[in-house]
Amino acid sequence: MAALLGPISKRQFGQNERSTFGFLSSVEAHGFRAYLQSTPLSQATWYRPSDYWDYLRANLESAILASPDGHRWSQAVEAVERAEAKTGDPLMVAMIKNIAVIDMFRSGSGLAADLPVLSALFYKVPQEEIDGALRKLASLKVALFKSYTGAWSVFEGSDFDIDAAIAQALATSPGLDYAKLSQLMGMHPVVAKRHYHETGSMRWMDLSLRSVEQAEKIAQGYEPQRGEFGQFILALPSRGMSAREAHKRAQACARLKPWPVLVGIPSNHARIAELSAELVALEQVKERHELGGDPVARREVFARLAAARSDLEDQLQAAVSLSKWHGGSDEVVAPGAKLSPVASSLADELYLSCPHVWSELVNRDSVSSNSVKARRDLLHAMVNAEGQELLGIEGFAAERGLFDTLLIASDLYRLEGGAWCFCQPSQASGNGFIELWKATRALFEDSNARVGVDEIYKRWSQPPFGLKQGVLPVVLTAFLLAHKANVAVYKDGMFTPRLNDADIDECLQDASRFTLRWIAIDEDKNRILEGISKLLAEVGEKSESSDPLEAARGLVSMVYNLPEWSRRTQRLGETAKAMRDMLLKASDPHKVLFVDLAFLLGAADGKSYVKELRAPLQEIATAYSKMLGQVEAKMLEALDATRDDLESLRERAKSVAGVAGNFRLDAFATRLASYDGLHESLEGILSLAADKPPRDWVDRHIDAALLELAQFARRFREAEAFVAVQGRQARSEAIAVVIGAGAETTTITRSFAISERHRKMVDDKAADLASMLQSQGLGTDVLLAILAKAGMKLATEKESSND
Amino acid sequence: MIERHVLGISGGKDSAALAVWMRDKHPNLNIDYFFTDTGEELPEVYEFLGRLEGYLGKPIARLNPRRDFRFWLREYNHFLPSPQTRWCTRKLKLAPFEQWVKPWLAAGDKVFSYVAIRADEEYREGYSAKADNLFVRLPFRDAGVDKLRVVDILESSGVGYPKYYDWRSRSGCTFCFFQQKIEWVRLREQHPEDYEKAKELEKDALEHGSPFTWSKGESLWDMEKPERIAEIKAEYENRRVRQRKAIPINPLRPVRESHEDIDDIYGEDEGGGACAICHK
Repeated sequence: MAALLGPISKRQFGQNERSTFGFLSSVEAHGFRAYLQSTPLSQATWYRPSDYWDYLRANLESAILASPDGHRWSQAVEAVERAEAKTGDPLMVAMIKNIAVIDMFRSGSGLAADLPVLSALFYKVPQEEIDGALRKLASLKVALFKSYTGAWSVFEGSDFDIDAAIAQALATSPGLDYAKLSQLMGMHPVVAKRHYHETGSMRWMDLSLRSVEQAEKIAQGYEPQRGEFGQFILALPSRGMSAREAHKRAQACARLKPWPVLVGIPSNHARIAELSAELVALEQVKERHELGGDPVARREVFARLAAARSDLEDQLQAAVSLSKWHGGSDEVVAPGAKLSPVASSLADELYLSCPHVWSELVNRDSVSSNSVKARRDLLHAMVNAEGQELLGIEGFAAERGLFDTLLIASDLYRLEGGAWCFCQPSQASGNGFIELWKATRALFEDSNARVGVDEIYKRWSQPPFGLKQGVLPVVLTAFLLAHKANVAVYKDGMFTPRLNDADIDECLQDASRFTLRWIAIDEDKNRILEGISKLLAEVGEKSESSDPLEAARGLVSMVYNLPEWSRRTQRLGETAKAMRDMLLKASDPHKVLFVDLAFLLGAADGKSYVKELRAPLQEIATAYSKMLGQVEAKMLEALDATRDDLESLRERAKSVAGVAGNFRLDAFATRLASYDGLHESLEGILSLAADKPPRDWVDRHIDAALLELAQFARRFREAEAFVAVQGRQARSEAIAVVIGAGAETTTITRSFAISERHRKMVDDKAADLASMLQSQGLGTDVLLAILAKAGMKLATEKESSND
Repeated sequence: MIERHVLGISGGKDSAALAVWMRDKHPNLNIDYFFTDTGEELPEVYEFLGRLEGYLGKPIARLNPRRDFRFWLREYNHFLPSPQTRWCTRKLKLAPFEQWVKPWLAAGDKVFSYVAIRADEEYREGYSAKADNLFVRLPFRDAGVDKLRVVDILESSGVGYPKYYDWRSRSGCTFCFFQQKIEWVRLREQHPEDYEKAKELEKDALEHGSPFTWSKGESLWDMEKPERIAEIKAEYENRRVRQRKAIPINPLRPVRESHEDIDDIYGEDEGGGACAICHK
């Protein structure tokens, strides 16, 4: 027997001629020579294939694994190891090794591990024992009798019983999980291709597998979940439900409105149910942990899973085309029809007024970040550059493409009356936009109610329009701009005078913060608005157009743009103050202009309204410059200067700047040196005085500034006196006297030099005078006042005598 | 070619001192002052700006009044900024400045930007110019003006320190994530309403799945527990005492009592990388 095996093995993996001779003559472990040497004669039987197994295992395993026999070898090794693990019986282990070797080289040797061969190998063992051992090996799932070859071989599977596991899974599963099944099968939605081609909007219906009961439940109150607009449901009747009944129930639950739910009963439903059950069961079996360590069984489960899946796919494909689809009416979509055209015509019906938008970038629900940026740029251009032919977009950036596809193609932005502007849709815009505009106008029917932007979006997204999320902001902005004369925008409930790009960004973030209102204007109101427009022009507020709402916006934004001080001051007339406060708090132009203001002004009609409005409006508008003027007058007075001769003031300031020795006074003088009487330079001086710019003042800052200015002025004049005596000769004594009290008293400044020879006399006389006055018992303050008055008298007398 | 001169005011001491200094040393330069308002500044900052404007005699332009911190917070899915994703400085400070000077740069004007990096500081890019005709100037560095001189400039001009320096060492947002825990504790004492607002923002962010809290490793809710406050204060006091001892005494320049600088105490160079833009 053993001799037979030598050539066999050579032929089988004869990568090396020496292997046979090596086997016979070398001293490798378990080799023939090792056997001869280690086996005592008394125990000698034959050198069996099982010994040869040991030889191969010990010496050549790595070579065999790399050869084409590697796979079978590893299966054999696994079988042998399992047998070794499960039974300690040496006979059985030897037996499986023999089977393994013979089986492995069967095709080359022509020798099969059939019963006679095995009995011959174990000639000493009784036949019954051999039979018993073989049966035991079979029950351990180690060896397998293959009836078609009539021989034993190693068990190529594993001890995992797949069929039993499937049966178990089927028994425990509560029924078919159709949702999971749909997911497993990866059933694709049905795209309404023709509709997409014709309208530019991609729409689809879901296709799913359900039981009839589930289909009924879903159809009841169905709402699209994930962007689809309807459902195709393949409904499988449960066991025992007749085809007739199934069709009847499908017919009853299918519907076209509000959303199409079509139900089909596949004619091959029994087979689908069977395969589905198997598939789901196999999926469960696949997850069992026993398979983790059982590659053979795992392989088999996967193979069966793939087979079941492809079978089911075939069946479902057939089912989709073979089903009779019920659409709720008596009409039945004939078997064999393709689903996409059906979906298209359903979409056409449902989205009857869908505006045509040919932009793959934004005509979708989720927009890529690049497109989001392009759309944002376009929206900014829309609010900032209306009137320019291309909205001021230069070159061919992405927003230029959006501009063409969204605004030009839809004819919403066009040349009208010689100017580019956003307009209502025209015939060229198509029926969709016209209907959209109509429906939106209808939302504003109640002019007292505000309509949320999110509400508008919702209306636009629903049938019959079905606008995609990506285009909503663009269409909305076009709508707002086309109707800016009539639509008032509110953010967080507050009126927004003019829409700007920051508002757009905030609207993109959260549309629900914005609400709109349609302002209806009649004849009388029109007169008021025109009057306001004129008044605004009078106070220097430019109003861009004669749009009535524009005028109202102008009034509110005029008040908002006032300097802080004008918005807070109490130094205004009662009416003006009340009007300002009202406008500042205004959240609704309609109410404030036509109700609150009218009441405040006590005006009965448009004409008297405008007349009454003029005075307070001008008062508010000019309050700030008036206040500045008053402060300026006081400052000039304190400096003993006039507005008519600022030049000499600047000269005086120049000589003082830099020598005052005080940072703040220096700053004051520097500013005076360039003072030109304009608002801006006055503000510079005043902000220094009050440590706060005058536009941010509150009333008390005026007093603080006046006080500080008075001090500045006094020190300024002191410094002037100091400058006058600077640089005198050291030999003469220079004396400067500044006399004056308060900012408004005339101040006398004289400087004079006393020569050396008068010095003694001056000192003596001064001492005389001082002691004389002191002897009167008067306080120092009083004495100084007397001296000051006397000095003034002398100075003025001298002046007049000079004249 | 027109030359433009811009100077960014952050609300902190250095930039204010630079503005004062430039006004005195280069009164002929027509400097445009700007302040990038995040909408989340301390009230002291506005008060200080008013004082500074008073001294400068020129309005300080306020940039980005519309898109404020909260706007960008929504834009960033309610994720709080952090040292790793510091969108706040990018969006609230840099972008508005770039936008502001963009038309000038586009018109080919030369723009000089004056940045208040002091002579005693490590060199840091305040803002690296991206355009050829934008020039960054560091006058303090050129003139050797250091921290003590800055204090001098502010005090002798009468502008003085911003009031928040009594309890906090940085300008910028009330809830700046660069601030130390002690500053959070003091923010809560000084401006409890701002602390509450920061808490709300943090709560909102965490609800939206933000991985960041304002202060590293703990939420403001945890931080305001009395025992934690005591712990933070004690730790700060320890550090302060240690740092005092460590100051080398310069016999030529006697140490003057000045505001304690919290970043000094934590051994960090002006806010640990918070850099010139927010805190100068």
